Amino acid sequence: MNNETPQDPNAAFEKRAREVLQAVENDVPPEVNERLVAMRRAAIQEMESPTSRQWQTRWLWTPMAATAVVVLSLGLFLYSGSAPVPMFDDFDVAHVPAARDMELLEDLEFLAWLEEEASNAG
Amino acid sequence: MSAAAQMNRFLADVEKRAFRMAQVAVKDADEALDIVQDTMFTLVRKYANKPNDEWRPLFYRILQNRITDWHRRNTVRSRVFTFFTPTTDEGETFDPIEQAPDRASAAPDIRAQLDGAVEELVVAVGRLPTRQQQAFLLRVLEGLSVADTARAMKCSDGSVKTHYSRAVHSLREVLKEHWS
Repeated sequence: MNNETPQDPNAAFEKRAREVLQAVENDVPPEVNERLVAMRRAAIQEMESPTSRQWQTRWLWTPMAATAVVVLSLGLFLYSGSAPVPMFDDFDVAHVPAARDMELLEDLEFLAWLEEEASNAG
Repeated sequence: MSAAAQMNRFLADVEKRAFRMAQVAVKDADEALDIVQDTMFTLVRKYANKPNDEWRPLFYRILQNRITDWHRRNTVRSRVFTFFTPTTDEGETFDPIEQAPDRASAAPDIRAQLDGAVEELVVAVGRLPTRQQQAFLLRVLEGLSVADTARAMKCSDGSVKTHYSRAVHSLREVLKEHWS
């Protein structure tokens, strides 16, 4: 300890306790030591692996979250109570949902492809 | 040196001490190994990207949390177990915890290797209140500063000093016959 002085009544006790506990630390049985080494290697392997659970989770969640946001936004837009007022009387609104559906399908196809690529890479 | 190599070196440095701390706290080698394993994986998964000098207090904070969780689970388990335990013929409740052998003195791998005075220290540290035990082991065995011990224990520097001082006082009282 940094605040120990020779006059400190606890200093001798602390010094001896530290020596004893360090001896105990060094006397870890071989089988326990082997298990500790194996645990450490497994943890480091997970850290080094590009397909670690953390990365897999990220790659899976990103397209899933994007898909959910797109579907939710579209759902809210299409099923909202107040329909948008047409700005021009002669504007053909019948084509708008079809075009929007095509874009949605393309988006969904793209996101599905991204997810498949991610899982193939993993 | 890569981040993984640095982490490997750090874990290799602390793993035995962490095991002994957990073993003193839970008095069971297998449970202690599980706690250390969980601590290692949590550090690697959540905090590997933190600066290296933060790993040590973070590691010991996780370790102490796991030990605390273990004690909580055991307390709940023993309460539930006691609740459903039938009474004896004399009307007294049979307490399996009380009837069980003293696990503080049943750590054969430690006992076999140590002489009487050393064993007394290990047993006495194991009987300290949890916070005193944590403060004592983190300061004496791990050599953490007061500030890092406070970070590991999630408390103030003053609390660490208090817990540590009480721990040393208790241990000196208990061990005075062997350590005079």
